[in-house]
Amino acid sequence: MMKELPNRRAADADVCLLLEGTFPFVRGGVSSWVNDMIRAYPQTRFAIVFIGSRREDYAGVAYALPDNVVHIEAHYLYEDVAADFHTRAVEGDAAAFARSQQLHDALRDPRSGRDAGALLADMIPMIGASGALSEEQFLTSRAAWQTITDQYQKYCTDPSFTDYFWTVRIMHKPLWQLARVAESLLPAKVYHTVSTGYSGFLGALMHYRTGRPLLISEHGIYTKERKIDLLQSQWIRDNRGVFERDISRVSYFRELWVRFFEAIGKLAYDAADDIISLYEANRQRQIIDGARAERTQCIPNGIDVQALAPLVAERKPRSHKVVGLIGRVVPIKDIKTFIRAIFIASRTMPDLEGWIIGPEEEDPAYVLECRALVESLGLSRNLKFLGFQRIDEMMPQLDVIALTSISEALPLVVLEGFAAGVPSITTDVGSCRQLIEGMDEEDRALGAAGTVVQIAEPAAFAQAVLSLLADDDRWRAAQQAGLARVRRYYTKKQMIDRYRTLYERLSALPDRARDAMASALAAQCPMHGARSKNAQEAR
Amino acid sequence: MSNTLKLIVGALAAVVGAVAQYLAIASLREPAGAFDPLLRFLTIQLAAGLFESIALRVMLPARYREPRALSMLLLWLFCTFVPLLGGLVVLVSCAWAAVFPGAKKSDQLADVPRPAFVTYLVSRVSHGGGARLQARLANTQVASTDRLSALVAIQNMPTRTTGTLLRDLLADPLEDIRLIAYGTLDQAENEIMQKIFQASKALETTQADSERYALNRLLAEFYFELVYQNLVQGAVYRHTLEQADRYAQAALDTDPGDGALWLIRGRLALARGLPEDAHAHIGRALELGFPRERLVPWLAEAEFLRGDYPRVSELLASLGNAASLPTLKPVVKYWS
Repeated sequence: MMKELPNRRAADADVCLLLEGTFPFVRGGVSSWVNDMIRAYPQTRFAIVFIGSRREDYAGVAYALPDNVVHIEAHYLYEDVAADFHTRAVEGDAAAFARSQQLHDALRDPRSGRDAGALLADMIPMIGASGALSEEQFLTSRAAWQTITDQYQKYCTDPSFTDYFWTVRIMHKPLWQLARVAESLLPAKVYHTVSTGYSGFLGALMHYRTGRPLLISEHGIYTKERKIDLLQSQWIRDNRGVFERDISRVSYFRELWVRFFEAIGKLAYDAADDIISLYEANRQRQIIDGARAERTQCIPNGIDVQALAPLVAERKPRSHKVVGLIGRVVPIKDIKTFIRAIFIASRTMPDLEGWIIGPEEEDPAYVLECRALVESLGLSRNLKFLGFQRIDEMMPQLDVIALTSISEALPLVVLEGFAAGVPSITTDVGSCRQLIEGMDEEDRALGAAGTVVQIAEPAAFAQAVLSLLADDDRWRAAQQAGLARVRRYYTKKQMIDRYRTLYERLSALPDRARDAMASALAAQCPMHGARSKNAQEAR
Repeated sequence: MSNTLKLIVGALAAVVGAVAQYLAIASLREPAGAFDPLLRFLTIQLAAGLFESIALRVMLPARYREPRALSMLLLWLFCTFVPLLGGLVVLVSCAWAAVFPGAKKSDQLADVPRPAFVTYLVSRVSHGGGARLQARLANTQVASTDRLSALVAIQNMPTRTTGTLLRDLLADPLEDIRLIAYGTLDQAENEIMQKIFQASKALETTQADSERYALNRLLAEFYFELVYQNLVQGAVYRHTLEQADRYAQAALDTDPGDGALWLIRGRLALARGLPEDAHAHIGRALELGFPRERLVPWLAEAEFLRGDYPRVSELLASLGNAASLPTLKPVVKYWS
């Protein structure tokens, strides 16, 4: 049974975690990681700011809050909230909107040499309730209207101004809400966000407001995932007529949304002191998306190897083989490819069983589709949906861990399988190849702990299952390789130690007073330098 | 200027013009005085011509009044240099032209041939794999944003034509490309799977024969659609063919007179490598009155797989001009 959010309030905290759409309301890899992290530092006082879409999208708290979470608050960006001002026509501050335009131009063209972070830092006082760029000013002032119409005429390739106008308003709306959250948020020694996006933007605001360091740890790459969603979404309009449409160009509004998330991601990277990824390919992606290389590093996930070690001895020989997919039953896990792979493999190995082990609440429609597929393939005898189960009870019963996901970062379930003596067959996503085959020469020398296949290829997946299960020597070699790899490179202790060092270093940094930071930033920015000089001259 | 005012101006101008014309002619009878009589006449005639031209212009049909300056100049020249008759000639000419308009010919118009459907181009354009988009997608050296745009562009094209390309892209080095290609294929498959799911549920509960027939037919078509759109591969492909055939057979058990369903069974048999069955099923569709032109290509394929090549030639030759599909034309040409 899900629980209500407990009421915990504090005046300050050591680490303030900024979490978008994850812990403690949603189960999953990132949530488990956050849960483990909080519990790994019992002496550290954590605050949690949860950012979600709408209250009704979440069924309640899915994790018991550790005692060292001293403060928690939740904010929903897409709830219908009445404006706290009366709509009235105001003239607006054209100079302030011109300044916001400079920020947009800097984000639009990173090669312009303008420092978007400095521009944002400069604008933070203006986006407050009484500032020249407040929500009221944006929604009702003539200057805002002028800015929007100018931008439409200058850049928009979609003929509908109405759609452009409302897209711009809806797109920017959450930013003022985040600004209000930032105004009242408790002080912390370190702000730590586990993604860019809205929580990353909040992190950037807090960094510039308080002068305290911002740490970003990304499991997946938020901007990339948003981009893929947006490029496939059906709700974004394209009003171009037949003769205006170059089908090889993405529609303007789609592109605008993609650029919006790229921009707020870039602002978070600019503000961050340290940017963590789970593996090298993601670190490279962060650099491409605007992170400064010298601030990035990889800290792979780790698991409690010792706790799972006894499971290796609990394995017993059985008459039939079991392939287990441990994960939520959601489209990104591509459960259907797993079902088809079991269908194909069961034609060669009729007593093979496929177990789908994971919660089914998140996407009931997809669960129904998967069950219907099992039925239509006549696979009810070979395939079981077991729901949420304890890992330590399941692992000794599995011969292979299957991971058919179309996107992953560094899946903990593969590491847990290794530690419990179960090899994996995974799709070639995220760091899976690195986990199965090794990341460098020394790691590769440990051998392959399973097989990696292309995504959405049930036949190849089935073949990999059959060849691993039919060859005992190969299976044992894979088991040993997995055990050796997880013990050497992916222990929880290694991960915890590295984050401890990071937290300690960042907490010890002196406060960077906002004025000092602004002037330091202004020094980086020729435009701001000139402005400050003019201001001094005016005095 | 209102019409009344125009009439008044025209009438006044006519009166003044008539008086001036009279004075001009009368001046010729006057004895020569201090002025040269010809010069005197010409001066009065110029004024008379002007007033007459104003009066006549009011009487002209609207389309002859413009351009104003030129029409006035013409009238004035006529009225001045052909005293008395010039204006009348113009007026009569205009009336003549209005009553008996001449045939208009313009060098701006020309004959163009009737439009024709260019079938030879259709066979070269691979819809969905349009050469430019396909090249951009397949070339991993092209900028990733361009490749993504190309991929987004082919999302709305039929999966039947883009399926192979999308499947190849599942192994692309760029993750964004892989994920969007996967999403496109998955969405196309989901749409059909949802319909299959709903029809299957309805079939479980229905009792009426007519409804069972309709649902079985629908399910056969949906499963066939999965095959047609290249959405299933390998063992799942073969299983889907079997499912489609099973539902088609169930529908035909209720109504054996459905020619279209016999054709689907024939095509399924061809896909399963059973030319004898295909021959029998398509033959049955033919007996039931299904249009022969649409059956012949499939029948020819069945005969080809059976090894009866003279019959292939005979069948395709019988199509003659009925083979309107551009992809079929070269086949017909080769075999006949």
